[in-house]
Amino acid sequence: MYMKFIISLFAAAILLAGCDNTADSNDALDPIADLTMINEAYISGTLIKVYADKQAEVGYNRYYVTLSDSLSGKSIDRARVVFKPMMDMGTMKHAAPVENPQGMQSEEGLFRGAVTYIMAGMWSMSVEFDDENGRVGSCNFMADVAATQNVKKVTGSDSLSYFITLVEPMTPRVGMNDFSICVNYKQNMMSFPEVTDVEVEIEPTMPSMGHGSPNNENPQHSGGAHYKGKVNFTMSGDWQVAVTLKRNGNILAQTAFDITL
Amino acid sequence: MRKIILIFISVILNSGLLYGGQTEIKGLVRDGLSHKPLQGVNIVIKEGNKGSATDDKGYFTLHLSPAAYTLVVSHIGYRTRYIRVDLQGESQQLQIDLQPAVIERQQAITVYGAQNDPLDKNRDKWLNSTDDMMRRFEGVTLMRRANFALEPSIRGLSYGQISTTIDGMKIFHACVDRMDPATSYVEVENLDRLEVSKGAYDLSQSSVGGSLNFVTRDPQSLPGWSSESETGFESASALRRLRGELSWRGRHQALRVSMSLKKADSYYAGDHTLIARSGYSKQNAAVKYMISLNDRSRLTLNYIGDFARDIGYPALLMDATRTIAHIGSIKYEWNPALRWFPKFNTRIYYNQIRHWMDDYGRDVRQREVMADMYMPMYGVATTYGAIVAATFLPGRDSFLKLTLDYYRLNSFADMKMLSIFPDISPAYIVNIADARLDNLALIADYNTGLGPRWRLRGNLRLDYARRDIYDEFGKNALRAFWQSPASAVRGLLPSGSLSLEWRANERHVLNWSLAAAQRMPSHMENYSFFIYNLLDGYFYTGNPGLKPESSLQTDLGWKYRGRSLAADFALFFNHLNNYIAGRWQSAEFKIYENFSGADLYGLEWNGAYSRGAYTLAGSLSHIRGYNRALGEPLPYIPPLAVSLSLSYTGKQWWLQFRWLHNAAQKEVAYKSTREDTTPAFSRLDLRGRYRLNGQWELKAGVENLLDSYYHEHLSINNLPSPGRNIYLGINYGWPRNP
Repeated sequence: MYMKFIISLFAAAILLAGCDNTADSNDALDPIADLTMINEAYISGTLIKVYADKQAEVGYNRYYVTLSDSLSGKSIDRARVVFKPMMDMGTMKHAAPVENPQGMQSEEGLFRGAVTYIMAGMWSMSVEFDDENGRVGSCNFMADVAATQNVKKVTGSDSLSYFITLVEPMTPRVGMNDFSICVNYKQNMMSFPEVTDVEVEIEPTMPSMGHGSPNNENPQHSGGAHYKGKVNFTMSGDWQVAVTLKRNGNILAQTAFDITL
Repeated sequence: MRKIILIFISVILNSGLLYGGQTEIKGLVRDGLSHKPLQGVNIVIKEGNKGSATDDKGYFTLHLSPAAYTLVVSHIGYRTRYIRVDLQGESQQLQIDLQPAVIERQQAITVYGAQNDPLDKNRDKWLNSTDDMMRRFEGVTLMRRANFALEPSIRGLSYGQISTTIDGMKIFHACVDRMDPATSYVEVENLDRLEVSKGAYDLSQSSVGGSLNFVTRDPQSLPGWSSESETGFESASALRRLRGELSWRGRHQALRVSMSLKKADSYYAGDHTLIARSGYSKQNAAVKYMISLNDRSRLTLNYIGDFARDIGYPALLMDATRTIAHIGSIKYEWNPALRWFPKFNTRIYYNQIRHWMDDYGRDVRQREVMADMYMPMYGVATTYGAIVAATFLPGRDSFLKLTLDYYRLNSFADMKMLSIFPDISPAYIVNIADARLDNLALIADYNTGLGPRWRLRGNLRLDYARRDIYDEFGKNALRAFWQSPASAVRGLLPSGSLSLEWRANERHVLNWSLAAAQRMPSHMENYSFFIYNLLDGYFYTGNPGLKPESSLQTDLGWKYRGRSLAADFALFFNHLNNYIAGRWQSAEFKIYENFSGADLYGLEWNGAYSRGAYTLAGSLSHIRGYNRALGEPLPYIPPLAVSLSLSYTGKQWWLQFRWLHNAAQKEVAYKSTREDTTPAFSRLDLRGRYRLNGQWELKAGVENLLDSYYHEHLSINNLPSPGRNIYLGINYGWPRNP
């Protein structure tokens, strides 16, 4: 009698656990669930789709690309994908810092990359691909980039122009937040290479109150143009996070981001 | 100790043969301390089922056939007495004094107003406020933040290190700046006595430093009505006060209602210095209703409401605009009046304190910290609990009291920061993120005689504490300050104490006590967030990783009671482990941490010499505190204090001249906080009372006669004490007790 009861309990537990698992895996199955498709194109027997996770704005914008055979619909998982943003201002043109998907292999069917729009306005974007079977093409669209204060252009002590982009936090909250920035410099109008060798120091303050916060972690280089650290916002209100770039201990560039929460 | 002796040794029984008559016993039963008649006392004949009860004048009558009997005289709250009577055909008249059985606090405790002791703090007749009462106990010092509700410190320890209760009930502050200590809720007309326990020897409350328990007044003990009212004026703050009480006792029920109204303007410190923005207004009401359910049990309902407005806090950045306190309890006492069965005392209680403060009345532009910002704050502390105590009386001179004490505190506090400039976003923080504290304690108090000269008292206490915070916004803010994200705290804390008393003879009593006690951190020390400390200019953050603060302490006392001279002397030493204080975290922030050790030691003396109508009394207390981990003195240690008074007590007049002196405090903390030294001061007080007739009485006095400008060391931000204060009071009582 008892045995039966225990067995049925176990069975119920397994069933319940099974249900939970199914629910979880359903959510994880669709990597584009929260994304918005920006544009799609059929070219060279390939369907290319470009997705984004927000409206384009000045700052760090992630793009997600899927490739598939336009006939069979079969996903193409190996290809090189390149982002080419361009701002045509009539008298001059310039590009923007980009992060192209690394390697040839997609992740869960997605080629992930990013573009840092450095000014507001209408940008033309070209997403180019070439796969292992020699299929080459691109998907082009216009991006209407909204103005933000998330990119700071600073002239460094070496007279180069540096672009310091706030990546996180985008939805700041009271307490400890991940803090990350991208650092690029302008080589020429078309090339904005990543800066990988600077030390970054941050200091959050509330200028209206004259105090800061403890336990902040200076961002450390985490690959590409990225530097990741932590910032502590002790309360809601207007904060300013001062960012200092140093090279070999000497100040290279300084700026500050205003963050309100 | 003397109380025990009173209770266990000397009960006077006068039995006399009066007039003829066959088989009648008449008797009067009185309270052994106040000698007031007791109504409703049960008198049962052990050798039969006959019995009687006293009438409203305390008398009883029994009619019996001639024989030898044992009368069992029992009454709730008193020790049952067994009286042998031999009836040989002549009626007898007895006078029976019953001694209160509630022997809840002895030895380490000075009980206010309970007995006729020459060093009883009740003997002075000049009480204007509850603060005046606390000040009388040498070793108790008051921390001043305003001219309102001072916070007590016992032997250099305060706040979480000591316990402050009302009728044994826990009450917590709602204000994160501790503007609302529990001491402010029992007004003087509702205060029966103040039980002060110095040191952690009485473990009925959890502390490492001692406890204060405000015992509220019961309805009058005699049947009928009485009332008392008083109005008064104090010049230093133009304080107008009015208070009144009404008391009634019927056959089975009793009621007492009291209220107090106070309004004060800003006060003048010495040298006629106006302390701006230091006024207040306060209303307090108290109701106590008792009903005897039967001869063995009684129910008491008690409510205190306290409402204060516009309290100026000149020592702090802001003022309290409003505070509301509701304090209620239901007590059930059950005395089966059986020798082997315990007496039960059960109480459930609830209290809620709400506190609003802001700086709208201040010039925020001129401020050093948080300039150009208004910072309205709100706080609430809700506490409820249950106390069940069973008192066993296994022998004539011993008792065992077992208590189960549970309480739950819910506390929340927040603050807005509103810039005077419209383009700056408002800011918001949660100072106490909905903290919920559960505490369950089991306490055993055993007291026994060891032969005619020795007494032993042992206390054991086991606390189980569980607490956490539940406001996610506040929790996230706090976690950014902590090493570990966990906010839940659990603790199991055993404590114990032992006291040994030796009565050398009728005059000399020596007492030695030893205690190992622990206390949980306060909810502020665990969970407070962003609390600005004016003294050192840091924002303090709580830390759930704190270990309990523990203490090992010992106390040596000597009491002398001569015919005209009485003196108490005490030497004490207290070693604290895991002492809790703020540790530097970054340029503006400190977090509470444990420090390895701190020592406190000192002495107290208190004596009185009476000759005729004159009494010369004095006291002295001295204490040193040292933070061993930081190698510096402890903060908030009161300096050497001496007082000397000469009183005259006549039939109608009472007069007192008192000199008080505090030495300079040069031993100050400069690492853990930024204390400054305090110069010495003296002050003279002159007080008097005059009884006009049976109903009317006049009170008058001058405090700080020479108008000295001074501040006490425990005065926050060196807020000066009031200057010359002339007070006047008129009291009307009906009917006035002799």
